[in-house]
Parts: sequence; structure tokens; C-alpha cells
Amino acid sequence: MIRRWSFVFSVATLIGYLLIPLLINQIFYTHLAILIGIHAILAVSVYLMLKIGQLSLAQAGFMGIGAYASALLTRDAGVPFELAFFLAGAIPALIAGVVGPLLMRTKGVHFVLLTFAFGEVIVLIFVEWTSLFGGNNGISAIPPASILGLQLIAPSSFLILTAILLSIILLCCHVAFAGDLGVVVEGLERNEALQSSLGVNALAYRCLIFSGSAFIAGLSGSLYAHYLSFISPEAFGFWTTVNALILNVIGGAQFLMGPFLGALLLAPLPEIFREWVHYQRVLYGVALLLLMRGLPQGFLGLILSRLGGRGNR
Amino acid sequence: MKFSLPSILAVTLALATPLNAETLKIGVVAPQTGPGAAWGMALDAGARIAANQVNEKGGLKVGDKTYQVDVITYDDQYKAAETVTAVNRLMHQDGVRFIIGPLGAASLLAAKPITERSQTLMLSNTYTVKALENTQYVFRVLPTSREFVPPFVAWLKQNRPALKRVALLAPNDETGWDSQSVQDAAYKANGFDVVAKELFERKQTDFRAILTKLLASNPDNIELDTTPPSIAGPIIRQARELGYKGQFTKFGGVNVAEIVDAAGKENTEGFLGYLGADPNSKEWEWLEAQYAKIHKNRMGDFTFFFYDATKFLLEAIAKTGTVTDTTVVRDAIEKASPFDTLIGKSFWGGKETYGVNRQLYTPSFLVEIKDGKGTVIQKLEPKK
Repeated sequence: MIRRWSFVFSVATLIGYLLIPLLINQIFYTHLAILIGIHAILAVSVYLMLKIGQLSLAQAGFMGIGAYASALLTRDAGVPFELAFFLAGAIPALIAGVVGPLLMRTKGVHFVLLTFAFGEVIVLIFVEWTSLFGGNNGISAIPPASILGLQLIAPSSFLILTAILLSIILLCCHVAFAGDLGVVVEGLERNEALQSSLGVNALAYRCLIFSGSAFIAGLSGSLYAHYLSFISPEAFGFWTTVNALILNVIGGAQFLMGPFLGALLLAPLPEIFREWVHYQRVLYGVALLLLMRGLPQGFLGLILSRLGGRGNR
Repeated sequence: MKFSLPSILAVTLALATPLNAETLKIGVVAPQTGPGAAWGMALDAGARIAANQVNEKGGLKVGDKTYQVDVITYDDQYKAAETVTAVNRLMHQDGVRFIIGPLGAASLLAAKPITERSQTLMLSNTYTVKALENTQYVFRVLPTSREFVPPFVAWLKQNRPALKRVALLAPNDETGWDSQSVQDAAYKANGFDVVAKELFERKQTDFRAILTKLLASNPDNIELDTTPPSIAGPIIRQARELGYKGQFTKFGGVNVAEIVDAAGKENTEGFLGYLGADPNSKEWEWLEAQYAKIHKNRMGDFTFFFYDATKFLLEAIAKTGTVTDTTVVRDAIEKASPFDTLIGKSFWGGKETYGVNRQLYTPSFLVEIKDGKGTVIQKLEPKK
């Protein structure tokens, strides 16, 4: 029963996320909804890693690779957006696939530190390789996203693209984890030794999840680049990953919809305080602390505990 | 008859507001917290001082209506994505058509496509040459290295003939690259020998490695260029600790108090730098008194530029009789050149360099630090 309600709730939330800004028809709310979607997609990539019990701090770096790949391919190489968007996911996924076997052998704090260093290296490459990435100055004049030749300049059209992609990503993750992969991944998180004794290649599965999470992070980077039309290395630093982690914690890190709900709650929060110019960041910090204190299992955890079950993860 | 407090307040407010008063909203987007906050607060204060002046005189007369000028400031934390959000909110929620700011290349380049599409006028500041590229609604309201460095270096050549070997130091970003290339060309054009060129990361706090390399080239002047004043102080201190006894120049924005505090009084003796206004002038004194009513920190020269920019924006709005047609207001701002500003005659130029005449040229002030205090020793008039 709860499983069915969870599904209905998820679908209703996604539909509401798309329709409410479109019905209000004010560009500012559409803009906020786009940012929610982009942040949510990055947060889903963090969620995937949390699902195997690993905290990766390289996710913003992967997002950056996707953003720069998509921007450079469309702007300088004339690659169509559709292909550039796919490559924006594929390139970081490939990089994660190459470094994965090295990084995924470590666990816990060692893995966190290694991915932190890896993320910083990615950002440093953006900073230092000025001829390709523009250094601290970044890349400007990134063309807008376009589907089948139709340029998505209007924020409402970009929101539709973002909402569709977010829905597809969530659906793919849901389907993947509902099958054998979900069983193996849950087993890896709970008792890897037991899984290995049953013949499961734990490292291969870990690398697969790592690559998948990099793919999703890269897609969020592409959306970010084509929406803002400007990117610079500072957008893909350590704090971007931490923010994505916070979205998981606030939304409910053990649930697939958690990152999205976290983004829905947190992305508009600074806007509530924007008029208190000098206290905006302090108020945001206090609100964050209160939310973490009040929602130890995240927002979804609270809802499901009220409904009396754990629901569909 | 009894009066409640809310009803008294409502009546008082109604009486205090002119009957036909409307509100003209001017947006400010700049860092108000974190790095760059001192610059952003100067921008905010400049706009507010100009708006307060108009409001105190009864408002801005535009056509047959009188407007109270309302400055709405949003903190963009010096981040491009935050700037885009703030600009979107100003344009689409607050109905703003005129924006003072943003600061910094990343912020401006990210905001520009949106403001250009909606024809929102921006009076901005960033050193990048791209600021005025492919734009119709952006003005740069203060001079950059391209405008003030050549005359300053020429002055140095004439008045400090003993200086021959120059080392250049700047931040590793668009601002630094661009200003360093301008400095390099200006020093070479004046017969100086540029013996070293180094870039540092803005997050850096320890400069000994870079300075050791720089000092190995045996310079007799270190040009600190667009190094932020908060970083210039520690660099001077560390260079002195490494045994450097030569000259420091900073033809790229100076905050005397901040530099002296961080570097130490004895280390800054003889320091030469660029200022946008004279700190010993009566104009500075007046503006500083106004600034103190808005912010608690010490005023820098940035406030002058944005006070003047807001003033000539409001004058253009009043003159054209429109608060919505930004194209007409833009044209009026262009035509109003030259301006009388607090620091002297200023004008629009830049067609040869940027392709449009929307770069403000203002007088520049050469400051020398003696006994921990800055004194203007030369005022240089702008040249196209």
C-alpha cells in the first residue's frame, strides 16, 4: 500500500514541479524550478554513491566535465546539442570507469579523501589549462540547448526539458534498483563479504555505480552550462558536492526521491531571505540547521514514519 | 474618539507621501557578503546616496509624475549563478528595468545574455574586455587598466628615472591576464625592462614561493596591478621579509588603509598607486559622511563611480520622461557626455578599444603613501 502511495506521491510531485511554475507563468519561478531540477539531478548522482555506502566528493568535478564538454562541443565544434548532451554524460562516465577500479578499492574516509582530491584536480585542470577551458575566466557565449533544431531559449521550454530529464533519470534509477541490481547494491551496502562469497564481483558493481553517478552528474553539468550560457571552475568545486549531499540529507538520503525533495525544499530557501541582504546567508544556515535537527531521516523519512512504514526506497 | 497605533501610522504615512508619488525601482546586484563585499557595499551605498538625494528633494520628476526612487539590493556573493538568480528576480519579480552592477567578469558575462534579451540597462564594472562586446545595454562606469595605466607609467618614467627593472604580479584570471598585458605593454612602451611576470591564485595567502622567483630577476619596482588590496598588503610584507628594498607600485586600485594595516607602515613607505578619487578632498569628506549613514565599514573610492552612475541614470530618466524605455534612456546617457562628476569632468569613450562609446573616462589620482597615510601627488586628466 505504502509502496503504491510512494509512487503516486512521486509522480504527483514531479507533475506539480513542472506544472506549477508553468501555470504561475512568471519567469523568476520558472528560473527557480530549473535550478531545482539541475541541483536535483546532481544530488541523484550523490545518492547513487550513498546507495553503495560511499560518499564521493568528486561529483561536482564530473558535473564540470559534463558542462565543459557540452559547452565546448556545441560552441566550438558545432556538435548538435543532443549529441553533446549525451557526451556530457558519457565522458565523465568513461573517466569514472577508468579511475574507478583504483578509487573503488578504498572505502570510508579514504575514499572520501581520494574523491575530494580527484574533484580538486579536475577543477585545477579547468583553471590551469587556459587555452582549452578559459581558466578562471571560464567559457561564455555557450549556445542555448536545442532539440531537433528548436532552440530552448524561453525558460519555460528549458524547464520542460529539465523536468523530462529528471523524470527519466529517476525512473531509470527506480527500474534499475527494483531489479537484480538493487538486490546486489543493497547487499553491497549491508554485507559485501557475503555478496562476494556468493560470487558477486563487488568491485565491478561499485565501478558501475560510480560510472553511472558520473554520467548523471555530467548531464546536470550540460544543463547548467546551456541554461546559464556561462561556466567557470568555481561552480564545480567542493562546496557544490556538499550542497548536493545536503539536499540528500534534507530530502531523505535513503530514498530515491529524497534528493529531489531536498532540492524542492532548499533551492528556493535563499530567496525567502534575499531581502535581508546582509543576513541572508546566516538565516539560510540557521534554517538548514533547524531542518537537519527536525528531519533526522529527511523529509521523506518523516512522511513515511507518519504513514507507519519505510516505503519504497 | 480613540485612535489605534496602526491607524495613526497609516494616516502619517499617507500624509508623508506625495499624493501622486510613484516608485521607480533601481536594482543593485553586487557582493554584500564574503569576498568583494567591500566593493559591493560601495556600489550599494553609491546608488542609495544618489537615490536619497533625489527623494529628499521630493522625488524624481518624470513627465507629469513624481517618483520616489527605491534601491533594491541583492547579494550575489560574487558568484555567476547567484547573479543570474538575482538579476532574474529583479527583472521579473520586482519589475526593475535599470541595474547598477554586477561586479566581476563571471557575473557580468553570465547576466548579460538575459539582460540584453529583455533590454535591461546595466551600469556595471568589470575589467574584462568582453564586458562591452556584443552589447547594447551595458555601460562600464569606471575606468579600467586600459584607461589609466598608460598615463601613470608615463608619469613614473618621468618622475622616477632611477626605476628601470619592473616585475609584474597579478591575479590568475581574466582581470589579471588582461591588466597584466596592459601593464606589460605600457611599461615596455615607456622604456622599462619587464624582468618578470607572475600570476597568483586569488585564494592564495602565502606568496613566498612566487616572490622568491620574482626577486631572483632583481627588479627595482614590483607592480601589484589588479591585486586586491586585501592581498597586496600581505604580498608587500612578505616581499620585505624576503629582503626586497625596492619600490612598490599598484596601478590598479588601492585602499590605502587596508594595505597599510596588512603590510605595516614602514613597509609601505613610498608606495605609489592609482585611486579613483582624492581622499583628502571635500567631495570625499561629504561622500564619506553619507556613506557612514548606510554602511559601517570605511568608504573606498568605488563609491564615487556608482554614486555618479546612479545620478546620471536618474538624470537621463527624468530628461527622457520614461521609466520603461531603456533604449531611449540609454541614448540619453550617451548623449549627456561629458559629465560633471564629483571627481571632475568625465566622458564616454572606448569606440577604438571596445567598439562602442560606453566606457567611462574619468580623472585618475596618483597616491603616495608616506608615514602610513595616502596623499594624492598628481591628478591625471582622462584622454581618449
